[in-house]
Amino acid sequence: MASEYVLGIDLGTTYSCVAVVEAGNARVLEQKGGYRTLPSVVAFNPDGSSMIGHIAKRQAVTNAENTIYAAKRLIGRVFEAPEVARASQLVPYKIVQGPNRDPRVRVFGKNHPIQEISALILRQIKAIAEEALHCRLDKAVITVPAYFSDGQRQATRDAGEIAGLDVLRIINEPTAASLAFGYNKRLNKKIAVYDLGGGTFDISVLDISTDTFEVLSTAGNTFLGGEDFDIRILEFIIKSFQTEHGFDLKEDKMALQRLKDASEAAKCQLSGSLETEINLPFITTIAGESKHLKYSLHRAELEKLTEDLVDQSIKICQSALDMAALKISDIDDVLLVGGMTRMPLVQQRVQEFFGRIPAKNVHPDEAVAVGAALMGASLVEEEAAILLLDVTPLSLGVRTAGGYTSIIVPKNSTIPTSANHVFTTVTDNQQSVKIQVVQGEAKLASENQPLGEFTLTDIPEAAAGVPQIEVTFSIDSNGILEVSAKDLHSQREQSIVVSAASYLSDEEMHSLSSQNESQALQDDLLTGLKPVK
Amino acid sequence: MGIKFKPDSVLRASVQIPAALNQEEAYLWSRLGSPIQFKDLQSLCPWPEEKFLEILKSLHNKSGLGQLEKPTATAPSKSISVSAEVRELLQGDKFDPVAKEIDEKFRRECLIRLEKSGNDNPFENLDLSVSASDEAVRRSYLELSKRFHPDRFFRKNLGPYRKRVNQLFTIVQKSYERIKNPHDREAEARKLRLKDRVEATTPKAAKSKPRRMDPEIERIGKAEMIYKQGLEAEAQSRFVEAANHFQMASQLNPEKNLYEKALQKIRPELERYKASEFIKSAKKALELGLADDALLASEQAMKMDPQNFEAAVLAAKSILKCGMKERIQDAFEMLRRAKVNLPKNAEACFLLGQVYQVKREEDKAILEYEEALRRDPQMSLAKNYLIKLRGE
Repeated sequence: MASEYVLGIDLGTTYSCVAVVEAGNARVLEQKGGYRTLPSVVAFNPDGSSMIGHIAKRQAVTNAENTIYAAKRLIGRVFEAPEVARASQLVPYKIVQGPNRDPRVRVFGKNHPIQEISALILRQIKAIAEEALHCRLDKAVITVPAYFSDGQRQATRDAGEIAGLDVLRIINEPTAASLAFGYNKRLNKKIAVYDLGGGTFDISVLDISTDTFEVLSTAGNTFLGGEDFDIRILEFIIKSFQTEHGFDLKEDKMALQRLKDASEAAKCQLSGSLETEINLPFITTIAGESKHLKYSLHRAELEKLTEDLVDQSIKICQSALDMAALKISDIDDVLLVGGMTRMPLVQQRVQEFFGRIPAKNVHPDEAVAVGAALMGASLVEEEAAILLLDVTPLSLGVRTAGGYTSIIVPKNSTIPTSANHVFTTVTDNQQSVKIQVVQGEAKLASENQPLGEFTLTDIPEAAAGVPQIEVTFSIDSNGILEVSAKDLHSQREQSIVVSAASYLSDEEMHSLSSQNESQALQDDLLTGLKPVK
Repeated sequence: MGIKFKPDSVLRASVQIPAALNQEEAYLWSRLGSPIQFKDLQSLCPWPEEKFLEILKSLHNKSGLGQLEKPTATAPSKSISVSAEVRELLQGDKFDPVAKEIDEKFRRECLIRLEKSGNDNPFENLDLSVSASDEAVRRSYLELSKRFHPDRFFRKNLGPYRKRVNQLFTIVQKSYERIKNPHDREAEARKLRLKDRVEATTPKAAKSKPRRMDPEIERIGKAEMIYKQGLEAEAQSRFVEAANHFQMASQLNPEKNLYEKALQKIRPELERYKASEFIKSAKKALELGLADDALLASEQAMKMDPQNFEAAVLAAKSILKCGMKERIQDAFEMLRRAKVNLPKNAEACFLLGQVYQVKREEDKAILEYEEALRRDPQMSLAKNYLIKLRGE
């Protein structure tokens, strides 16, 4: 039987981290070699086997096309989304359209759903934890950016399931960080959590009163993070190289990957020192002649290149405060979470905006995983130690006549929550109604994220407008939508499956997880069955 | 010792994980995830009656069992007057195997609060007076959120109360939204005062007295209600629960043979469901290396649902893993049938190859491994054995 430990997993865009609560204390689990975070990188070999984490990241330079990173930027999105198009231009691997309008990565002629990539990382994390704790583990709390939509949450949970995890809860990253900050400290404070990670930015405003953590508002951008900073450096150098040598480094995949790694390293170094050197000998060959790349980059230059990104995040902070109906002076503490908050410019701007020095006692890389572990432990306890009142980040609505969005659950509603909406027919004897569910704040339904659609059937024959079908939208504690319908005349209930564009079909989920399972069983047989001789 | 189990006693696992269980006790304990009737539990377990009782008793002695029966129902509470509807629902709970395990005081509170929420008074919903201060509103909101937040009952089976608790949480939430800031609170208070004034001036409609129900009608009504709960359970694939409900309904009202029919109709489903549960536990047992348990469970599954060839494959695999030479012929037969009936299953062929190897018929084993690879080209185990056999 699997143990009672619940893994707290921070599944990050660039790095992941896992923690667990042992005897009331949360601790981060280390991998072999003492690493406390795992690069969220998966690389494939020609025979279909995969490498995950540090080993995958190390070989990325020579195997760029088959090395998948930043999968979190794609998960749960539809292929047509502008974010997917942007990612396509920036990564060396190929992104193609899947059968359900979902993006997939194409490696060695095989299309992999994004959920599968994330599942491979989660499986590795599970293995790391099992090795560290010497027991079987299957329960987990996984974190997602607060600003993730229903589809992205659903896809993350599916990834967990494929990896053989029982996902007890999906929680928001800034909320998790606040748990790590305030758990068991008997605080009575209003805090802001500024979370700038590898790929996403979130700001949440919370009210902590002892063991109750109430999120007052949350805002963010799921496509603003450390990667964007790297890309600014990368593009700057490519441009300089082009003016100097007249050659576009983007055409050389290996050079691009080396430059990407170097940009990230330079960015990290500039957090500690004022100047750094990007030195890549033999970067490429132009007309048979080897070229070397050597630039020195000053912190001020980096700040000039990325200032607008930081300003963008500060603007979002203001809107989060407005939604919580708070003034800057109401905030008692500011937490910085995510690796990007090590950048001096970020710290400076946050400090200027909030008018106070950010709290130093949360670890920017580990707080989220620790908070998730605390939540997990609280859930499985007989008497819950933590009460989390989180909110839904985006409004949930349906498309009405004329293509407008009619909001049913407004953003920043505390979850779990539910709301009703009564639908009726538009023609006589109409037997079914098709309903499109969208998430987002735009007036026009087409500009919001499509969550999926469902059809109400078996409506008793009647004149137009007579049948009354009450549809209930419930958002559970994971921020995931469930829909049910009731005919108000017959009181007959109908359960509805919302089939979203980006979800995997049941068969596909099944085949992916059984692949996983049969792998495990086969491994088992090899040791269990003595060869007959 | 000295405890007696009646066929209809409801058993459940203790909350704490008991220490030092042996394999059999652990197996039984794991079957007690949700409350289950003694006779159902017995039918789910592979042992003969005597052994089953012995294991159950030793599990009980290691305090692996939760409370067997509730202490006699608490005396009717004096302070709060309860409406006829609430009383009826509380009565009905006695027939719900899940609901009757929940503290009655809590159930009563849920029902009363839900009923009160019909008044649409946010102050009442939060136990507040219309003149409550900011601080009082917030305190009450946090306290009630804590009481009814679904996370508080994360691991508990609340049956019909799950929905009610969720509803209550939403009510608390929405009431708080309405009165959390002083301006809105004043407006809500004004609305209530106006409503009171209107009601005071209009003559009160004669309050309908809670009618005493004819016991005969009550019995029939109850049967119908239980039947409906059964249908609900059936719709959610909780077949064991559904079967229990149908049986109860038909015992209460034997004249209505709809109930008996529903029970008959669900039987094959129930068997199939039980078979699938057995398969699950067989797989788990194999994973844990308990091949004996896996064999017992998969054989039960085959008995329940003879058409389930997945069970046959599992059983054969368990035989091989146990190294039971004397049963190798059984495994052989099971696999041959499974191979034909599951044309895509590579494992059946692989295992058949293993059987042939045990029987020292290497040529036939090679054929089977090849077939396994045709069915699943990724099966590295089959590949390995093929290489080994061909190498010799």
